[in-house]
Amino acid sequence: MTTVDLYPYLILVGTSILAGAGWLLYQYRMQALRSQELIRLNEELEYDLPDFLRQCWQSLQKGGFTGIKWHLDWFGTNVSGSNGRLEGAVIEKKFEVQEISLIISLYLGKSGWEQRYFSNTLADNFFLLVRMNLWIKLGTVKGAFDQSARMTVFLQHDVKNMAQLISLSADQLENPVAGQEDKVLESLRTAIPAVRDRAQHMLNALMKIPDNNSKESEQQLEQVLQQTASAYELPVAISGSASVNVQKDTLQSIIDNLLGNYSRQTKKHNQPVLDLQIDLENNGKRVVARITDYNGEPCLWPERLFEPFWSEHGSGLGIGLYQARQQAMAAGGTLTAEAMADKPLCFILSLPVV
Amino acid sequence: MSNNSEESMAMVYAEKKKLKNGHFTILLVEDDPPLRAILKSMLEIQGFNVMETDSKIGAMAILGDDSNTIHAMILDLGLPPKAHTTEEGLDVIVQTTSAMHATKIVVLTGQDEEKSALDAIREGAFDFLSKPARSEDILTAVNRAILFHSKEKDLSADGMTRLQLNAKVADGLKAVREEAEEKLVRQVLKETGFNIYRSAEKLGIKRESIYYFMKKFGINRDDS
Repeated sequence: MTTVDLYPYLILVGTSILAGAGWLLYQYRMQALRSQELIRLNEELEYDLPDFLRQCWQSLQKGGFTGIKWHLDWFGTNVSGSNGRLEGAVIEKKFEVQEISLIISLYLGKSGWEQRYFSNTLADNFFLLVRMNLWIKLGTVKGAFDQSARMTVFLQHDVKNMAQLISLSADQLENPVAGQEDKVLESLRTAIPAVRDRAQHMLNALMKIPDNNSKESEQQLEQVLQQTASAYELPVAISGSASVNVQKDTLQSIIDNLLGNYSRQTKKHNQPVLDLQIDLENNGKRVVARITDYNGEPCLWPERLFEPFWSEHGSGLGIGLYQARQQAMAAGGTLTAEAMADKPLCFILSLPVV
Repeated sequence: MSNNSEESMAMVYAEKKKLKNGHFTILLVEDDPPLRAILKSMLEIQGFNVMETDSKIGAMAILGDDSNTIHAMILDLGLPPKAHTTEEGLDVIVQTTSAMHATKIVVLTGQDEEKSALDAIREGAFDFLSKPARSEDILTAVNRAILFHSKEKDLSADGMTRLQLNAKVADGLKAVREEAEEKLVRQVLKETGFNIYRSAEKLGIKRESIYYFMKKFGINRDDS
């Protein structure tokens, strides 16, 4: 037999290999499309696990599965579902995280080895999405609780003061001291409108309505910086002078949050070790304040500086700088940080001029 | 009003009569202006002299001027610039007690009750009230504080000094003794206006011993 005689066989084998490879490539491509379909469905359902379980069957069926069965314990409520024929080879997976547990069974029926291989790959991707949804849910719940707990601290302060005002006013009315009625009336004139304003302010804060009582006005920036530094007992050298056009409360809050960080640092070292320098520059449109502690160390986590609810020492609320940045932006300015590996951290606050 | 508070009020009224001007002075440290105003009014209606401030710096300045005439302080722990923490208020207590001011501190705060109460009492607060507190409770606490202030003054005139020590059992007796010695020497030096001779006489020790304690505990004339 000559080589030429072998050509038809070789062509046949080659064609078979090509056809097999093409078929496998096609299968691979189709499973990739099923995986993408599942990812898109998950995004559309906003990573909601129960909905995802209810609607994933169509994509899984196209991926060669003959049936699915699941049982979910969702924060104490049990729900189950099934689709297709529940027979043949099965892939079972159990998830159990905090208050959520889930058992999923995917049925493969009587499929060939290559179909099983591709279905297993799709199953792995599917389980990965399920696990991700679980953690997203738990992360969202935990984040919401943490935020609520932290905001409660702020609200409690205002609510307790308001309750104290009401309580004292009521006591004065209930047990008036003879001959002191005018004085009681005078104090109620202060207290009652204050309670009304406080309640409105809190309601606005809860509903995120801007406080219309405060308007932008001319503020002497170096004066606010100096007074706040004094309140924190921080030694500071301020160069330059500038007026900014910002609400008084907003400016005070921004400066409080910025200098508050240095105050904590001073407390930690138990003595003033700061060399705090603030340079003010007016470029006609904006006032730029550069705040640097020249005795400070380089910042090791610059990406965390403005992250809400992240606190270096764990004891703080972690919203000071985040809040300051939000307020600066709302006032038409910016708050950034210049963090270099070999230089102390520098905060740059920019605010609109008058 | 409870029997205790009635007794307490009666004793304070008796104390009031002893004073020439018939007045007690309360320092009100509260950063919420309307609340400060109504507290001030309530105390004035009850016949107290009221001094007021909204910050730690203000409180220490007033106490520094003449703490002897201020009988009690009503203190909010959440003061600016850190109104949402107890840091500034606790600092007021620490500075007041370490400066040996006789003023009694009644904490009136909206901060986390359990932790704040423990911290405040540990640092030397006389009483702790959680917001919202009834006028009656505030007045009872203030009256008790004034009573203690007056009685301690009487005891002081008789040569007795009241010291507050926070001791850890694990630190042993030596640490407690040293803290007591330091506080006693500081207290007596303050009472005598840093007169070494009189302080030594009051403590029943030699003048050299006073100098020794001053060196040992780093007590300076400026500390008074």
